Amino acid sequence: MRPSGDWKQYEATDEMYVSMLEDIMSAAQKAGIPKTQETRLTLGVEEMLGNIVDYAYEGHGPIWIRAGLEGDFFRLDFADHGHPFNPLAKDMRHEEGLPVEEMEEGGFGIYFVRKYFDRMEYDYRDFQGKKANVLSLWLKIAESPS
Amino acid sequence: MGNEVAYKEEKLANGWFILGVQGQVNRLTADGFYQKGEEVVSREARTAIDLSGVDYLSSAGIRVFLRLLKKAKKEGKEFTAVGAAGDVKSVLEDSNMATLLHMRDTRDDL
Repeated sequence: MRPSGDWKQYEATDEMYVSMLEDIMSAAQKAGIPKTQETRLTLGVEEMLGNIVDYAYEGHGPIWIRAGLEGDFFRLDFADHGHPFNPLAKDMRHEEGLPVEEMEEGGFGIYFVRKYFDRMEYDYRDFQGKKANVLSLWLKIAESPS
Repeated sequence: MGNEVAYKEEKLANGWFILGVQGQVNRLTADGFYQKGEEVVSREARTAIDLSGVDYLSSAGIRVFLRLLKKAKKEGKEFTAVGAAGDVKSVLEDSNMATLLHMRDTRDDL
């Protein structure tokens, strides 16, 4: 099964960030994401888009986004031609009991994605004529217990 | 997504300094939040961030809390948060930041 949306291309910049987020949230509302799931979705989108905008390219580059319904899930796909980077490769949970002074400041965002989304996949494959990072996230449409 | 954050400062009789935050703390507003928080933590012995006016807090905001907490600890100062509710409270709890901050429900708990 493939999601109902089509790929849309953007420039991976902070200036485009709000447009990308608004388009995704619009697609999510059409798919029937309840209000209670919107924050979880926004947290995941912010993390994934932020990674691409901040680290994928030396300078600017394209990002493709596809968002839509897939069965009982809202599916999000992100693709970019930047440096190969699998955000799911490491478990970024912070170790409990570690002194604050020794805690790393990164890793919270991917931790939220792992916690709040129902499924994630990463692939490095051909896309739009080049190798690309392709990341997919699934969020169940029905409300899930917090 | 909101990229405007407003701040309100208040000193309580018990010595706590309240930095009230209004808006969304996200990747677009986190730098400004850190600058404001750093300014207050540098100056005050006991700082509490009042989050009752915040309706969205992302990992960028959690990183700011960790940086400010590290700074406060290094300088022997107290630093916490109050007033978080709903999804903002959940994010702080899920990241374990609520525990690290000894977060309080309201400013009356300070």
